[in-house]
Amino acid sequence: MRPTPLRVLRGALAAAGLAALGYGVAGLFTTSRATHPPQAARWLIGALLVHDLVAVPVTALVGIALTRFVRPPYRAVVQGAFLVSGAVALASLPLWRGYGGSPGNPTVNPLPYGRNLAIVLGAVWAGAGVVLAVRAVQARRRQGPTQGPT
Amino acid sequence: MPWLARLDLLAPRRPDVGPQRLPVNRTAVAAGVVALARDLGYRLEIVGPRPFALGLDELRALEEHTARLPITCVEGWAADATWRGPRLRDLLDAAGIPPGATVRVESLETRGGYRSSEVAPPHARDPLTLLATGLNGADLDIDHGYPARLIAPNRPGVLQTKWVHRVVML
Repeated sequence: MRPTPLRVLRGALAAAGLAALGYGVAGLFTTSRATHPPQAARWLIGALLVHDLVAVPVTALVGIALTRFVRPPYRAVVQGAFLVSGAVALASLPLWRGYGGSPGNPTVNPLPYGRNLAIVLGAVWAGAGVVLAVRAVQARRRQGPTQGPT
Repeated sequence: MPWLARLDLLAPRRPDVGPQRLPVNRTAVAAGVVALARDLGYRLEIVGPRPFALGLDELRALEEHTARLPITCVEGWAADATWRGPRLRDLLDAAGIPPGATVRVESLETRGGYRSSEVAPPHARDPLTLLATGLNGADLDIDHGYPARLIAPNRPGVLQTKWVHRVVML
């Protein structure tokens, strides 16, 4: 391959990216008192495994179940509400399950996270309910003219 | 929207929840300093060309200043507070420490990566930098560093050394 300006630029960018990566990895292992490499590995690999082996199959199964029990145009709304609910509940899981708190330090995790999760989920499903109602009304209006006298 | 703050789902801290309305990263119990900090024989040492030591009463009798400065924690939260105490630079001057000197502020903690911190001249000489003995109108809570803590502008919270008992010229 002839070295064209674009190839040189690409190579330089790749080299810079690899250098930055190497710097980060070196820091991960040389300052292990702060980075805890085994914990970092557990988090980086564990998150991938949980996503691929648990989150994706569960999402797919819920999606399949919804295709059986909910018909368009309502299905997308229910799917969306489930996705948002699951994402919010998972992202806040350490808080509403009380993980990672520091005993004797009430300023860590000081809020009623279970109640707050219930409020957020309530708002999500109330919103979904409004969208479902709007779609139901629209569907009835659309059906209206075709059901006129023949 | 402050009235929504109590409904927060994803925040592990509230900037206004804690002793003296300020969150705590490391408590006195966790740092193992309760007995040392409450010891009536507490002395603050300033080590320089003219070293001296002060008891708590003498420390509180010094000219006090107030500064409105935040604790900006590397955990990702920040909270403003009003601090009261002598200026660090006045203490350094009294010990004959020259303006260009860096000092090390040492905590009563016996272990931990942040048991002391270095204060370079721009911070050490800043008029807002205090060795605070008071917080938000009361004596410093033990979880906030009683009897005295460093508080300086533009400095991460872990370097605002708590339970200070020695300031050493480097």
